[in-house]
Amino acid sequence: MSEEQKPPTTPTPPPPAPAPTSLPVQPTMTRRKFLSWFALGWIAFSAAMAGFLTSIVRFLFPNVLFEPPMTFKAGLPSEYQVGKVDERFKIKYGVWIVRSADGIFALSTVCTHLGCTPNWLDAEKKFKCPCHGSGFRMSGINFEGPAPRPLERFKIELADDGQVLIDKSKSFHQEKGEWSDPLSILKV
Amino acid sequence: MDAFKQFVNNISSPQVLVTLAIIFFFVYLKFVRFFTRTPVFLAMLGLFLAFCGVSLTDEHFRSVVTMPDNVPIVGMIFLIIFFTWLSLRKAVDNDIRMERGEPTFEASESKDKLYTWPHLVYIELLCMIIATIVLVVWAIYLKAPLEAPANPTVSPNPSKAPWYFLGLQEMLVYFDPWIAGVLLPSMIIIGLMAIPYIDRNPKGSGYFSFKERKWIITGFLFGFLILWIFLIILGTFLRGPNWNFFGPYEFWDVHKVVPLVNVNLSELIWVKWLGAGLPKFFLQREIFGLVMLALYFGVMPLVLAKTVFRKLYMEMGMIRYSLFIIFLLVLIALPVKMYLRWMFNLKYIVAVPEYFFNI
Amino acid sequence: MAKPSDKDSIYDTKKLSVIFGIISVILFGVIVWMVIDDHAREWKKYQRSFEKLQFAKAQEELKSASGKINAKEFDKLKADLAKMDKDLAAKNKNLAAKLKKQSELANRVGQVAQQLQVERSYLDTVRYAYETAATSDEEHLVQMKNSAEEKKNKLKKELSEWQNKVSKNQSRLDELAREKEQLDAEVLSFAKERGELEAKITAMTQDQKRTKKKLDALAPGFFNAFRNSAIFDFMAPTYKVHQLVMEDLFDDYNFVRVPKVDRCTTCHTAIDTKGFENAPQPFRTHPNLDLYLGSNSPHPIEKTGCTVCHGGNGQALTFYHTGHTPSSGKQAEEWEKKYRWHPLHDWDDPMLAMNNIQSSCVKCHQGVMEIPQAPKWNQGRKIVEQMGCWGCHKIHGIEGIRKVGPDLTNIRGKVDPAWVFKWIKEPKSFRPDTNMPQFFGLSNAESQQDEDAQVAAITAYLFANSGEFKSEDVKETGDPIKGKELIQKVGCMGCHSIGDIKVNNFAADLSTEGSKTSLAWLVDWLKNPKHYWPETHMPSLRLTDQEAIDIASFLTTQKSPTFDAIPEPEINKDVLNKLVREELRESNTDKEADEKLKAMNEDEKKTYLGERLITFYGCFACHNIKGFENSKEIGTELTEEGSKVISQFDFGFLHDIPHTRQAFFDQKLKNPREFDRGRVRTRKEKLHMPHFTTLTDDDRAALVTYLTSLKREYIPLNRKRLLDDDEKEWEAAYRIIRDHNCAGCHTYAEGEEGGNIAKTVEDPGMAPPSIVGQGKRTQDKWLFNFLKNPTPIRPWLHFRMPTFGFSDQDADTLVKGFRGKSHVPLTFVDADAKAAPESLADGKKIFEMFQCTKCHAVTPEGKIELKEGVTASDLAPNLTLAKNRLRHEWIVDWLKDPNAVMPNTRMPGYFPDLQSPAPDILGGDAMKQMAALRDYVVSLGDQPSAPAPATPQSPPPATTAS
Repeated sequence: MSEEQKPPTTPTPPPPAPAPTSLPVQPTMTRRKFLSWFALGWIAFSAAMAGFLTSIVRFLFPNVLFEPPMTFKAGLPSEYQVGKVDERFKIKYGVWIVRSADGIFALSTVCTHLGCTPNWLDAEKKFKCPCHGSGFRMSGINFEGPAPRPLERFKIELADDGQVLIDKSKSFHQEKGEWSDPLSILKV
Repeated sequence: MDAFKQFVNNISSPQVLVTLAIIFFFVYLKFVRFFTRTPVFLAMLGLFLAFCGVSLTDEHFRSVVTMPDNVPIVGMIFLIIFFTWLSLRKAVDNDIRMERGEPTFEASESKDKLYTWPHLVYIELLCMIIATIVLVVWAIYLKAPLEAPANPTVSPNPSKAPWYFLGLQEMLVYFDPWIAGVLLPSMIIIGLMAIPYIDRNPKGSGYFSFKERKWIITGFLFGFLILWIFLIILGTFLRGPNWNFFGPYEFWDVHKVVPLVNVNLSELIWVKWLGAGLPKFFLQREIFGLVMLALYFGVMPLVLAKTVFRKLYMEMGMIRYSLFIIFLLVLIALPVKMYLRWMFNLKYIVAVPEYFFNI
Repeated sequence: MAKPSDKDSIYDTKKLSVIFGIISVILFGVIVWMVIDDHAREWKKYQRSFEKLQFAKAQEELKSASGKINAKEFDKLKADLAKMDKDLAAKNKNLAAKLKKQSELANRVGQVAQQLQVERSYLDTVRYAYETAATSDEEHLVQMKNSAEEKKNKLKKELSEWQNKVSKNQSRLDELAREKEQLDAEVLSFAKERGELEAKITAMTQDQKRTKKKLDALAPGFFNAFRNSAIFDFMAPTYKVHQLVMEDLFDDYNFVRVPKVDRCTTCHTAIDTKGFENAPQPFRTHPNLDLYLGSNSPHPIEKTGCTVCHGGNGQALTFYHTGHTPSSGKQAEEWEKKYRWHPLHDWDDPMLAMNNIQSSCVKCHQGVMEIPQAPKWNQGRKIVEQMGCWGCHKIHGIEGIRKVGPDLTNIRGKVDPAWVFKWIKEPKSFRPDTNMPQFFGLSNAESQQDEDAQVAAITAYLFANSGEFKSEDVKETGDPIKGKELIQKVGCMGCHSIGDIKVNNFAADLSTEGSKTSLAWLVDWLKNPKHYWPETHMPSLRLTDQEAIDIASFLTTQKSPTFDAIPEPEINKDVLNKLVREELRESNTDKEADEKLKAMNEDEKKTYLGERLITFYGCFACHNIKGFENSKEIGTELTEEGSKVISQFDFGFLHDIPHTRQAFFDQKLKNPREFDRGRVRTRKEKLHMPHFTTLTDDDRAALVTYLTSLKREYIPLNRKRLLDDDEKEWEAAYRIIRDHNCAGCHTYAEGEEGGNIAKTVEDPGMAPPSIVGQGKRTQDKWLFNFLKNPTPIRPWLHFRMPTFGFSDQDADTLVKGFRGKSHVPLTFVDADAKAAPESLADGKKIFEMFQCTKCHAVTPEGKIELKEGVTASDLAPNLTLAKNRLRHEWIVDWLKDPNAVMPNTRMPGYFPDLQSPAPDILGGDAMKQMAALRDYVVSLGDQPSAPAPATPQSPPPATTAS
């Protein structure tokens, strides 16, 4: 086509598009193809984008943290006296080591009311939280104040070298009946 | 094979390579219609690829070219080659059309229009996907290059600027840091900004054309391809430890010793030629350099205005012409100074170390 | 407007869709690849292998645990249990009712307890209110609505109400609780036996159950695979990075010190677990867990980590990036194949190769002469001290000790110039095992004539600047045969070697002494070594004049024919002139140099050149030389050589050795001048470190370990091994002990070598006594005096304790050191025995019963003779010495168990297991008897002293003549 024949401006309106998806005239959906290239493309693309996003979200969960270790050795069982609450790991690991007639168990120092650190009052044989007055017996059972449930116990067992091994990543709740689990108390 | 490598290594020096590049540049543009023909382009590209392929058998070449830092520059070489050829080819095509009285390619094409959606956008999507694939594959294969923990007593050798500054780092060989690092980059930026004010020629806008804008295209490409891109390539692949020059097949020997004795113009004239001592007062001492500068930046524009750029001066008027000529002269000063250095071991034309100012 | 153009295929959406489909699938694939590539870490491979190993081990354990269960017994118990259950079923009816009541009671108790809890809290509240009201004054009560009295009374009434309620409920609770107790006991009794039986069964199967549980946890299964899969491993993976963070040990990154984070245990999972000693690497247990990594060891893993000893990049997680270093070329090849290993780039401190692992000990174990468990490093440090490397190369920590070479300020009085020339040129031609290194004839020598001129110059300088030292002429003739015997008998072999006798090599080998010195000088030296060399460690053996002459005569017969035959070369005058002029040219112009050269005669030239060369070669690093008293070290300072950046080591053109510090050190020690190979250098630019020819491969390896340990590293004080006072005293004494080679004759500490001189005698009783536990055994004052002036204790020994001429301070240090070694506490409690006369009588009885006089003399002049049937081992010290020599409390320990105090002693143990052999003395009390015996023995020292027996030892020599 040469230039002279075509009108310079006022183009004619285009023919109406055959389908709203603005595809050209050829049909794309045939019986033979289950999945058109177009559909396949979008499925793969979305899957890829989902993969990207998941990978990004995975970054929110670091593989290593510089937190103190969750498991630690706490000396030999013979170092703990029956009927006594040992506070030597209270600050470093947030654990009280209590020995009763039944055995040795490790109580969490986190008050079950709102998370403060209770104090062990040896004269009154109870843990008393200074924040709102929650009181716990030596076993960890709550008996006064706003605490709704007893203190949590941590998994405790004997390590290979005979020392007590406490694993803070697993805790046992009395109100769920978990204190009957043999891992919550070390029988020596 | 070895003989070839020896030959290439031996001719590799900044002087030879820059000169060859400039010659090739001007020859190419002189015979642009021949060189942009597809078979010629493909043949040249093929030659270049063959050269690369053969060179990759050499371990030193390979070790430099496959460094993760340098791989993008290798890509850049091919991109530059392609786009320079493409644009010049389009320009030549348009020139031919215009000579035949036909409309330009852009003009004839503008009659046809397409929908942005889906045609442009779809293609853009596809390009995005392809770019993502390339980047992911690249990231998996080429790990980010980490060097040793920074040690104040040990500088990495060579210490190279990022690729976009390698041209300036090369300039630092020939110019004072103030000039090469502050003045020249500023001139580049301001010069680029000033182009719309200096160049009001409507020709060549919206369509490629070489014939109609021969000088400005040559000038710009000279500044871009030779003084920017080519120097980046030099800095990336051919500058090694201690910023020494190494041939493509040469081992990067940290202990290589090269004589680098350069003299200032004032020393050259006062001490070497006249045998007198260097005068203390810097104005007296640097008088020769200052005179040369005055001639170059002061007298030359006037002379050029009367002669070569007469028509231009008439068109532009004094202000625009002045701006234009300043930028042009600074541009030309680069290769001029480089040649002065290579031919006369000239260090600084004007050396005023008292005020940390040298040209 | 527009129509979609069909002409240009690039805009054909159908084709574009195809492209879109394809590249989207590729994009998805690439993303999956990216996730996999990120997820597949090298360390996970190792943890998987380890899991398999653990699984196999758990299976083994299960098998053995199951094996332990005696099947028959188990079945019997089970049968018994079944029977018991049947019996109990009969009694069950009652039991059911009881159980029901039990649970009811429990509920009731809980109810009442809860109510009581509420009531109690109200009681507490009211009590508080009442107490406050009762004790507050009117002002404070203004806030209360009612009047004070009203309030008080109301509260008092409430208080008593609550108190009643509480006490009533409390008693109800107590009743119920008591009932419950009784019921529980009843129920329990039913099941008590059953419970016991069940417990027995459980005990039998306990191990098996436990190991089965472990096995199940390790078994590969879907859940384990899921929790470790990509993306989903953020929850609770079993494959995770293990790290140890040490807050007080640091990595030095030049601008910042970062607390160490050691992730080695990610792959070395079982490094501190017993039971993996034979597992393949990297799962092998660390050797010697009691010393390293065990929780009760001095280096527990949680506090020490790994990299502080092994070096390397603790935060990395691949074999390559952590910086594993092979310990041999062979291992390097193995690793190249197995792990695609190559030397770590961009990291200055890769791991120490295992053959240099002892280089890390000194970081914390400072201030000791020898680090326990680090023999290789100790050897290296000892060589450095004794060969004198520190004389040229400053090393912080080796300071203030005496120069290792003999004093040359009076050389003229000892040897002649011809000898000195040949010696300097090649020391080993005279004495192959000398410590003096070789300066000439090495790989970068210019020419033979050049070197000869240099040696002649040095010799000339030494003699021109030597002081006058004249030994007295020897008038009597000596008997070489007697001299030879004396050398072997008097104790020279405690330090020296000669001929075939090479039990000690602390001092010079005397086999060629005759080719060196003169008779007169030798006699003078033997009588008083400090006369010629005031700082010598050689002691006086208190020789008589004749003895000295005899020994000297013998030594002068010991010559080296090969050495004597070496001709003295002619010095080329031109070469000498050239050298002198070169030296002159350094501080003069050409013209001045020529003039000065012309003005010198030959001797002056040599002396001038000699001085310049001594400055160049640094002879004063080992020898005292006149004119060089204040000269400084000429070599590179080595204090932080182990931290020096590799690029600062000048390997020259030696491309065939690895580019590591250790390779550099080794090559430097093997041949120091080798780094000049291929270089064009003037004489003064050349390397001039001498070659230490006597270093064996072991010595070199030890030195490499030592040099590697010279690092700049910060260890906080609380992590270092700080010495207590006893240890500090011992270390100070040990320096003196080592410098004077006490170990040549004596064993001085348990577990240490010593007393080699005993190998030269057949009768072990003739060997010098052991001084282990000396501090505990002898009194301080006595030991001090003995060290200053030895007197005979065991007269039958032919070896003589030398008179070392210790300064008061040194003798003091030694005495304190022995105390420290035996941890003798400083106490002012008087341990001296002040016995009552009755006790002495009992003591005498026991003394006679034990027949002590068979071996011990008991009078000042008494001695037991060596005769038929009596060997030296049967003899023992004179008991009159005991009072002032031995610590009185030690005597009791000795009597208690002699073999524990001095193993293999001939002294009988009279009180085995603290049982007395004499039941009728002092009531058969062993302790009392020992005390009495001790008191008696000590009292023997009260006898009036007879003049000391005539012994061959002459009195100590007079102080040094100038």
